[in-house]
This record gives sequence, C-alpha cells and structure tokens, in this order.
Amino acid sequence: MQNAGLAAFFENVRNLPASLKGSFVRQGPAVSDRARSQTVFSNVFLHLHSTRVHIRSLRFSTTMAMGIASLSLFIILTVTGILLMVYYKPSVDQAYDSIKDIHYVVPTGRFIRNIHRWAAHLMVVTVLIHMARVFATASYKRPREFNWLVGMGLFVLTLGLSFTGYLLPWDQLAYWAITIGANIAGSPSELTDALGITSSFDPGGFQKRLLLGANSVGQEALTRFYLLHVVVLPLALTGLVALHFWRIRKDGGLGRPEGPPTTAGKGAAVPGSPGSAPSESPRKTYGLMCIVRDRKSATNIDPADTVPSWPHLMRAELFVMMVCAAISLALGLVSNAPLKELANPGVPENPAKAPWYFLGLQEMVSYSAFVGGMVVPLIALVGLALIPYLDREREEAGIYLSGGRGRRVAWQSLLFGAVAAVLAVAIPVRFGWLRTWFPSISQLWIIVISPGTLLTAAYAAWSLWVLKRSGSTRLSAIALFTCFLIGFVILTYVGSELRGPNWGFYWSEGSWPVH
Amino acid sequence: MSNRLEPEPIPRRDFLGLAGIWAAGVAIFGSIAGMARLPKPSVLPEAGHRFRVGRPEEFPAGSNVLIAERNVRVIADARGVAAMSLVCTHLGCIVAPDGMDFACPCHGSKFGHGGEVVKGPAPRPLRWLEVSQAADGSLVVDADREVEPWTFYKA
Amino acid sequence: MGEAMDKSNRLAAEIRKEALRRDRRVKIGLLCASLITIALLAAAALRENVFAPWRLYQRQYARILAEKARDDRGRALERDFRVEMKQVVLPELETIDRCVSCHNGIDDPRMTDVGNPHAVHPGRYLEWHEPNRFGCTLCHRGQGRAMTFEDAKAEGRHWDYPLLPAELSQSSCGLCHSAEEIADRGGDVYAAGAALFDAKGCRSCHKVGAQGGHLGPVLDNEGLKVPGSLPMANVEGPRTLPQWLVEHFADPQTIVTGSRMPAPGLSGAETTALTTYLLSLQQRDLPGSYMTPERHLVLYAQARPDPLSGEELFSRFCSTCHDTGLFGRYDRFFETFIPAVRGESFRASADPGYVAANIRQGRAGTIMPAWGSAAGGMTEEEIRKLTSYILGREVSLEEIAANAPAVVAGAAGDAGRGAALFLKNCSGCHGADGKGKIAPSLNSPALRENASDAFLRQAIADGRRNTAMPAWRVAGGLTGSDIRDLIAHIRSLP
Repeated sequence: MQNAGLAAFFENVRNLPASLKGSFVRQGPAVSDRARSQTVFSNVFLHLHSTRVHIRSLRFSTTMAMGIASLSLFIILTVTGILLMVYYKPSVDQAYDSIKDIHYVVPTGRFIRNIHRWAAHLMVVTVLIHMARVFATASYKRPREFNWLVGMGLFVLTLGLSFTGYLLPWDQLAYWAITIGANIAGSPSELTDALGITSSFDPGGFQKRLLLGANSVGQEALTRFYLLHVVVLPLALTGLVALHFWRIRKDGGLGRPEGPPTTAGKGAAVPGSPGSAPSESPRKTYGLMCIVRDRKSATNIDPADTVPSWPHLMRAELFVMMVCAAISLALGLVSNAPLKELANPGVPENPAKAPWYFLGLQEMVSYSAFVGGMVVPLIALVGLALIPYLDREREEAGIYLSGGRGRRVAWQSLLFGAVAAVLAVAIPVRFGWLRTWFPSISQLWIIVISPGTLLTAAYAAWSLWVLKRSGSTRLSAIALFTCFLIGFVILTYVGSELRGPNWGFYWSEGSWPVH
Repeated sequence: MSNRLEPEPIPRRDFLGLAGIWAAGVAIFGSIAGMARLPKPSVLPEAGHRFRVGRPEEFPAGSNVLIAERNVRVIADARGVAAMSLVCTHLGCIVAPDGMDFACPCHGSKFGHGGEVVKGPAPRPLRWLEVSQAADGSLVVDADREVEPWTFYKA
Repeated sequence: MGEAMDKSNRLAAEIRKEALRRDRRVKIGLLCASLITIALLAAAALRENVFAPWRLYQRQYARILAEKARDDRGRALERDFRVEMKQVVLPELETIDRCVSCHNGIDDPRMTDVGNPHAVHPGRYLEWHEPNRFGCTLCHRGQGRAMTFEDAKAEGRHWDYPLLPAELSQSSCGLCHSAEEIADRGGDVYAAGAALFDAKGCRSCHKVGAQGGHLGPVLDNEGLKVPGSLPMANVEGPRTLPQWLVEHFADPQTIVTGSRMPAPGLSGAETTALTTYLLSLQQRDLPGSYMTPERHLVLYAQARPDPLSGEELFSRFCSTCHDTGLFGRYDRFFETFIPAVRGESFRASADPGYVAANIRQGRAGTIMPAWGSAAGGMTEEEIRKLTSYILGREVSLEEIAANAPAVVAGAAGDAGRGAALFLKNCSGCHGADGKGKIAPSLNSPALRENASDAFLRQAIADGRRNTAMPAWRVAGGLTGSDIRDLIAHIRSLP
C-alpha cells in the first residue's frame, strides 16, 4: 500500500509541469478559425469581443477608429498614471516639489509625465471626434439610444478626469484654473443673489464647497481632486466602458452601412435590393462560435459578411493602439508638460485660463458665470442626451450625415453657426454689453440676455427652422449639432488665442500690455 | 470555396504579419522594461551614505568621538582615524555606549570595545566603515563600505 | 438553392478579398507604428541614460580626475568617482540642491585651471560653509532641484528666485551673520550695504524689524518678494527681483507710478551694496543653529533696538526730512513744508512734552509719521533722548510726562474773530484749513493736545528766527487779544 502511495506521489511530482499547464490552459493552441473563435468566446479577457465582425465594421471610414483610440489613450493614461503615483505626493507642501523631482531625477519620469499630459489632451480630442462621428453616422438611433447616453456619461467622466488631474501639480496654472472652475460651480449664486434668495437657497455655494471642501482652493481641494482623479472617476469610467462595449454587442454591432458589400466605396443602402438589411435592426446577437456555410443565423447578419475577430479585429485594434502610443510617445519626447511657479494665492495669473476644453465656456462665463458655467453646459448636455429620443426617424446607421440633404444642411449650419459665434464674440468686444450701457442693471437681465444665451437661442432657432423647412428631425438634429460643434471650436479658439490680460481682446500675444 | 463542414485551416502566416506582431511585441516589451525602471529611485530623498565628519586636526590621537546624528563612532590614534557603525547588526537599533563597550536597548545584544559580539542575538560584530579624505582634506566616512575591524586611515 | 449558395459563396469570396486587402494595410501600419514606437523608446532611453548633460559633465570630470591623479589621495578620488546623480539634502532648510551633479570639483583645491562647471569654488567660502550643511541655493538662489544649467539658472523659466548675478552673491550673508563680523571676511559688499541703509536714512520711511517710518512699505521680507507681486511694466532688464531693486534705486518714480520715494542717487557700487543688503532681508524659518552668535545679537537688537544716542537717533530717523533741523524748508519733492525743529526760537518756547508728543503721535495728515512704540517702534527712553537732542538740553521722563496745561485759565478768546484773523494773516502760509502749505500744519492732534497757550502765543508774537514766520506783534501789529482769538481758532481747527 505504501509503495503505491509513494509511487503515485512521485509520479505526480514528475508530472507537475504538464499538470500545471493543463490546469491553466483549457484549450490547446488555436489552429483553426473555429478554435480561435472558441478562444475568443471563452477567454476572460477576450470575450468582450464577438467572435466574428462585420467586414464593414473594420473599414476605417466607418468609425475612424476613434473609439479604440480613446480606449487606447485611457490605457496609456492609466499605466502612466499609476507610475506617476509612485512619486507624486498629494500634499500642498510637497506636490509641486514631487512633480519637479519626477521631471528631473526619477528614471523615465520626465518622459512618463509628458506622455501622461499629452495623452490626456489627445483623449479629450478623440472623445469629441468620436461623439461627432457617432452622431454623423446616425449610430445613436434605435436600438442604440442607451449606448449614446452611456457615451455621454463617458464624455463627462473624461472631462472630469482631465479637470481633476489639472490641479495636482499645484502650480500657478493649476491653482487659478481650478479657482475659476470652482467659482463656475458656485455660479448659481449669481442667480440666487439676483433673486435675493441666497441666504435660504444656495446651490451654488453647496456645489463649490462640495468640490473644494473649503471656501477656497487648498489642501482639502487637493485631497478631493486626487481621490476623484485616481480612484473614483477611473473606476466609474471603466465600468461605463464595459457597459458601452457590451451594448455594442447587444445592439447589433457597430453602426455601419448595410447593403451588398462592394469592393469599391461605401455600400450605400438600396432598400429592396438582394442582400440588403431588413427594415428592423435586430435587437440581439447570439454568441456564435463558428459559422458553417449555408445555414443562416437567426440574427439576420449574413455570415458571409463577417470575418473572424481573431485575427482581423484584434490586429486592427493593436494597430490603432500602437499608433496612439507612437503619437503620445513622440509628443512626450519633444514637448515638456508645463509647470509654472509654485501656486501663490496672493499672485493671480493674468489672464487666468481654464483648461482648453473649457475655454469656450469661459468666453461665455466672462459675461455671466451662471450662463456660461451652468446654463449653456446643461442645455448642451441635456440636448445631446435627448437627441436619440427626439429624432426617431428610421434610418440606417453608417452613412455620414445621412446623404446629400444632410450634408447640405450641415454646410449651411456650419456657416450659420460660425457667423453667429463670431458675432457673439465680436459685438461685445467692439461695443461692450449690457453692463457697459446700463451700469446698474439687474444681473437677471444679463443672465437672460447674455451672449451665451443668445447664441444658444440662435442655434435652437436655426435648428427649428430647418425642422420646419425640411420636416425631418434628423436634419434638424444635424443642424443643431453642427452649430454647437463649430461654436465650440470658434469659442475655444477665441478663448485660447485671442484673450489676454483681464480677458481683454488681443489679436496676438505680442500686443499684450505688460502689467 | 468548398462546401465542407470542416473548419478551414488558418492561412499560412506571412512575413509581413509576423513582422508586425513581433515588432509590436518588442515595442510593448520595451515599454514595460522602461517603465519597470521607474520605481527604483536614482537619488534618495535623505542624507547620503558618504558624509564628512570633520578635518583631521579635529581628531588627534586618543580621540573617541560619538557622532550621534550619523550613528557612527570615530576613534583616532597613532595609526590614524577609524570609524565604527553604531547600528546593531541584529535588527538595526542604535547601540549606546556602556562603559568601554556598547549595548543595544532593543534585544539586549552587547558588543565589545572593537565591536565584537559579547552577548545577545546579534549575528555579527558591529561594522567598521571606510574612512577616506575628500579633495579639500576633510575626513569622509562611507556607511556603505565595510572594512576590517581596526582599519585606520592615515591622513 | 444552388444559385443562392453560389451567390453566397461569391459574396464570401469578395469579403475575403476585401478583408485580406485591408489586412495588408493594417499589417504594414502595425509594423510601421511599432517600429516608430521602438525608435522613440530608444531615443528617450538614450537621451536620459547617455546624453543627459550632467552625464557628459561627469564623464569629462572623470577624465580630469585621471589626469590629476598624482598621489594616493588623487588616485583614491579617481577610483571612487562614480557617474551618478548627486545631491545635497537639507531637511532643515527644506532644500535639495543638485548643483553638485555638474559642479563636481567645487571643493577640490586642485581644480583651479579647469573651466566651469568643474572649477573649484572661489574664495574661502566653502571652507567656512560646508556644502553638505549649507547647499548652494541658500546663497546663490536658482532652482536647486534642476538637473540642467538652464533650468538651474531658471531665468524666464517660471521660477520665482533665479540664480543671482555674481556681484550679488553676498546677499544671504545677512541671514546668519552680523555686518560687523564679516565686513573684512568675505562679506564686504553686504556690510557696505548695511551701512548705507543707515547712512541714507532709509528707516525714516521704511520699517525694518521693530523700527521705522510708514511712508514706504515694510521691508522685512523684501528679499523674498516674488516677481509676480512687483510692478514690472517699466523694468528694462530681466524681470527678476534683483533687477527690479536695481532699477528702482535708479528711478523710483518710473518703476512705481505714484511713488513718493526720492531717488537715493547711488553710484553703481553703492547700488550693488544696497541691493545686496535688501536681498538679505528675508523672513524665513532658518534654524537657529545656522546663525552665528553675532547674528542672534543683531536679531535681539532689532527686536530691542540698540541704545543709540539722541544725535544718532536724529540722524537715522529724522534727518532725511529735517536735515539738521536748524532751518525750515519747503521740500519740492514732497510738496510740503518741513519745520525747523532745532531752531533757536522753537527750542526756547517748546516744552519737552510737546516735542515728545509730536514725535510719539506724528502729525496726522502730513508726512510726519508716528514714532511711538505702537507705530514707528521707539521706546519712551528713545523719545526722551531725541527730545533732549532737539531741545539741546537733557530732559527727564518726568518733565515730558508733566502735561503743560492746554489752556491758561481765563484766557479763552473768540474763535470767530480768530477765524477772520487767521484767514487774513495766516492762511497764506499755513493753508486756509491750517493743514499747512509752505508752513507747518496747525491742525494735528499732537499740537492741539500738547501745545500750551504760552507756546502758541510766543510763536505768533515773536515769530521764529531764521524761518519765514514773522513776529506778528511787531511786524503784523497783532494785539494780545488778537493773539488770544487766534489761539482759540487754532484750537478749534478740525
């Protein structure tokens, strides 16, 4: 008996390598498409992918790869961020010095920090382009409305991550940008003050104190922003990203033009032609491990239109990630992340500018903090969120701007939106605004008749006019979205390049007065 | 294409595809290797291990000086200057002088006049440290360089 | 069915072709992007580990050490030299200085014939101040944590305290030393600056420590002012604190619009010395162990000022405006009349209490500051000494304390008549409201509360010799009752 036990024991020891490997690897190496599909289906990391993707999903023009680019940049940011956390100290006495040390002495510190900063800016850009692409290809329509909302949530989280990270170096740039941001959070008090109700109802003060943990930017704010930046917002973003990808699967894959595949050009849908999509997009996909010829699946996705995810999709994803990495590394190599003097509450930056993606809002904030800080952003976010619910025309996803009419409307809206935005800047710059002409006018009037409100109203009016004229909610949505997009671009440019000390208008930095 | 139910074999890997994958792998591996260098600091945020203790004139023959902030004892005689660490070799507490000997308050180790273990859980004698001279003549002790006991430096 | 299958197969074939074509592009793209990434990683690695400027300097220095290794010690230094980041960590000063990463030869007396950054530090300063205990930026400023020269110099680099020009290097001596102890031991410029600060009477308008006037700003932390808090619009040189100080000395009105500071008229060397002194005025938490005993005495004396004589006090605090005090004068710069406080007639008639009160309270509404302990910082004893000097005779504290009665009993006059007389005779020089024009002000609390009737009567009746104040009894024909009315009016001035 003992011999058998000992023999078994030694046999097991001898088999350790094989049995270890066998317990870990459930399938052998993938030697066929089916085996690869099996792996994708059953692997914990890969199974977020479907086993097969539609050929047109892989086309660059379908998505411009902006979604994967955003994800890649997020991964780069997470990795570089964790590395920076090894040395960064979130205390007002030590934060600035720790960033200096990261730049000067930490091995690879300067490079990692630069990459982190650049990837952050790039991610805001890719997320914006992604949103524009999804809108333009009408990929928010049924059944994808909820995913559009999830995307809006991701957009807000991205901006939040960028904003909270902006404070951490604790230099003059950070300190004053966040002072402005916190005061924008407190801007409802502009309205409650004008109404005289602040002592009993002060949401502005509440928001500001929630953000700062005090009445001004200090250690409390730094701790909160750090917590948000490294734990709360990344976790929330990861969760929403998972939901976002899962919904893509469940909603029938990426929005893409249907119709017979052609080897040249995009496949425009011609309803009724053989092989064209039915009028109802499917609501659910089934997990398919393998496609056998000549058996149509219940999802109405012609298996012939699809290619295996491994290797085609994954190689494309790796390519996009590598391009994002290369761009981030290149920028990180040649351009240093800025770091100004140590934060000094007694010496305000002049001009004190918010991060670039908020400069458009700061333009409007310069007339009314409440309008620029609360009203317009809320209208924009709510408006964006409601688009899929207000534009219910059935249309297939994937055609940019829904074809010729849409493109025309887009061009017209671009023109209108640009002119309106330029006027919204030029008129107050040249002639002043309400308070210049009526110094003691109530702030309520300024809130109601401020360049920001008027611009928003102009865009809304234009969009309604398009609706009336064309009878299509989609076209009016295109009009509104395009207006806001060009307005955002122009106001951001003005706030970034044409505003100098005391928020005065200057054509170039050379003509700034010296203080 | 045939109408078989057999799974199709994977097409032969081409050079381009392999080169791409391998290049990506090297890039990723290189990034990880680079990032792995970050946690090991290149400078320590504390006073260094090489420090000056004074000029040779400050240690005439017969000196036996305890430099508390550096945890080191410097003695001098006709042979020159030597330095002995006061860090207990058991678990790092600082030993205190006990007559001519040294005693560690943490676990009761005792060391003799030359650092040899007399009693206690300490596994090794107290370390003697290298003494040298800086360019301007001051005596320098290097806490990272151990020498044989009673090694003197002649200034 | 067969036809559908054929079509399906054809579509599948087309899909396959498209997939392969797309694949090819992706593969090329992946290869290129990966190679570019690898190249960027290599470039970053090389930049940090091979071509970093401090490494180049240290490799140069290793070669120099090898050349100079002629004896045992030289060879030991060469053998022990490692190429690595070097720094001096000073938790007490909250400083980390990495200058020694490039300036390796700073303490090696052999390095006299090599250029910077390898050269030895000039003078005996390092003999007196070991780098491991003082670092470098304490004296030279600059960005100690930097690892390149341009960043360490930090000019135009968003750093509040860039490297000081060489001639101002003594600006930190005053943090730990008194001027006397270093005047001929490496601190000559600083000592000259400290002496100038007294000689020029800067304390008449600027408070440093416990004592000084209030016309100008307090200077206790002048050496640590950040450039962002200074008006730099008219500064021609680099926008740094030292440059601001230099140009401000040359022309205060241009640098600070509306400044009331007269140009001190300094030579180049004097400007350097005085700037050096001002830069040493820093309010920082320097550990006491860093300061010499002489410096501790200076700090003590600043809090409890030296017992200067009356004449010295007058020279330090008063003579900037009052000059010798023997003659009154109209100061064109301040556009105000400065009375002769040591003039014969004033001396003859003023009580000690009146003089002391003027010193202690100042003259509100004029440029005469309050010098009492709550304001300018003088103790009662110092005021007594000043009063004695001004009056030309020793007075005691008791004399000062004895208040002269403000109004002689029964001598009240008619303020209404007095107002008319005042307007006719006095307002031309003293101003219609008594605020003072080309004659001293008459409406300050100090005068009201402390000048006795006798004093005022004597001033009006007999005038002040050697000044423009006439003897009104003689020249102006005022009677005794006129004078009483005038006094009543003066006392009622707001």
